[in-house]
Amino acid sequence: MSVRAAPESLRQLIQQAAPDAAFRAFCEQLERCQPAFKLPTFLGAFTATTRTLGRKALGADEVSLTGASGDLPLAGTTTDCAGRMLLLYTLAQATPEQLPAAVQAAYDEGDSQEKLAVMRALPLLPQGERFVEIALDVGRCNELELFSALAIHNPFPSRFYNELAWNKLYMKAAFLDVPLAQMIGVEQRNNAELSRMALEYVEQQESAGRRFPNEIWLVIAAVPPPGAIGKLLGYLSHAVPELRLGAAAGLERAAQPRTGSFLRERASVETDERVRTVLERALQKLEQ
Amino acid sequence: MHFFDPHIHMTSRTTDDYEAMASAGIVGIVEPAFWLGQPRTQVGSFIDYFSALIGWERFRAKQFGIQHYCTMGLNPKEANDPRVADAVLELLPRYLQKDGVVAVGEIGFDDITPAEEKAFAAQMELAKNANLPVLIHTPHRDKKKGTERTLAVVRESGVPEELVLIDHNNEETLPLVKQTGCWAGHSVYPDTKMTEARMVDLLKRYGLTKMIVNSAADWGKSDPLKVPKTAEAMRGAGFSSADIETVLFENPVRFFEQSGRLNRGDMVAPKIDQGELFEGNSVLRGQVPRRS
Repeated sequence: MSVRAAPESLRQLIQQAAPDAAFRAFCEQLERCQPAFKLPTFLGAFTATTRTLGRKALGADEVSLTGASGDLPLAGTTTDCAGRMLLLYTLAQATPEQLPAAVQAAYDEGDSQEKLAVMRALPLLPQGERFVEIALDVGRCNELELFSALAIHNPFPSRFYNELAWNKLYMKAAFLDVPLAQMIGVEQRNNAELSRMALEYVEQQESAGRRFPNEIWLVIAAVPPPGAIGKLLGYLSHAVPELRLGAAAGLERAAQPRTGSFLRERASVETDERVRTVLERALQKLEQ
Repeated sequence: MHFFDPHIHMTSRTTDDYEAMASAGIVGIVEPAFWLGQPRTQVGSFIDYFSALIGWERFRAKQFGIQHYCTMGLNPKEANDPRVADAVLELLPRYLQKDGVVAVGEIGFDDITPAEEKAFAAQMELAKNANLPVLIHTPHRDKKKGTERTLAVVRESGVPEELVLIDHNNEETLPLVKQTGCWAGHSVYPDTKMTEARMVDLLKRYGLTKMIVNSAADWGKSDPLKVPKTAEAMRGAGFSSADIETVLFENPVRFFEQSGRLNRGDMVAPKIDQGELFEGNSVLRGQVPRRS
């Protein structure tokens, strides 16, 4: 059950998760950054946050913040990351003219955890389009934790990326085995080119004898390229139940009437309960 | 048995090395900022190098269950280069603030020039301001005199000697360092610097207190397994497991713990999750990720 909250509630969440003395020290740092904003002071506080607050679970996995770019789930957020997000959000409210330079410097000079916090804060900041280049830079990195902070549980890319940038992000997420189901906005950003790229990735992995994420079928099936439906039907009789499950979900998404007889036939012989449930759902969808 | 290599330049090493080090029991390392072999001509090259030490290299080490710390500093060779020296000194306070930066270093003398001494003294001040220990390189040439000058700069700086690690010692320089409160580092190398057998002799003669051993492995002919190999030599010479633990884990950890930024808990049964990367677009190139 997700709870939506204003970004200001970060302060309270941090207070609940961090020891009293640590929270007081953090608040002092926060106050030193305003109203007379100085970039070195801000960056010093931003860097020191892990030492000030520690890195513990924030304990707000069910909370989503209502950010300027969309809802931002706090699943997996740590106290230091939350502190850095609050520093950036507070700056955006108090001295918005300083924000672009501060975000850029916090990112450019940041270690991996600081860069990660910038990624998590982006959806909370106004006029997010100003920060697309920073996000694209993270999209090129190979540090999985950092890449994931942008790619999953984050509404920023789907809100601001053009089609090419979105497609590249999605494909890299698939390539890095990032949980695709946790990417925000996939359904809204489906497009024929992405479906083509995703199908070619599946074929490449098949040739190499390597696995691919099941969720990728949902993107392929959204605008199925030639050969995609036939491949999905072929996977319905695969020996591995997980692969049958992915194919059934893809065919449910594709909802093509010509697949009805195949779906019925497979549903009658399917032994895995989960796969049979999806097949039956797909058939119901066709009948509607 | 687990080990800590307190001086190794992993940006110059391969993933094979990381794998071998982890297999040999190395759970933590310190990577001092140093000379890359190729002179840098602009400060931007330092910015990117320092950023890699607190970013990509830390990530690479983690894939093999090795906790990566680093030191930041202007090395003595490039302290002589006016194209970069002052700008790097201006840059350092920002990087000395970073998590996982456990000392200022490696600084000190190379050719023992006035420019090196100026940068050395300036960085001792930075260490005082940042409350950080200092890792000091001693020169390859004119080493004894260079070490004497080094100890004089340390005294003049006012940095407490227990916060100072004088590195690359040999039979000639160690007696000088042992007369102070500084820690003594030794770089065990295949051909030059120190060998395992000589290191064992020094430990027998001078005891274990404040004695530190590293591989100083870099882009040259060097061996990232010299710390565990020194353990074997110590064992062969009759040192106990507790003695080996003292020299090859406890001592370096205790020295860098003085930074307040080294958490030994991070090095106990490190979590390995190579699933954090997968196939081509990562440091693993297609092999099955290891998890433990």
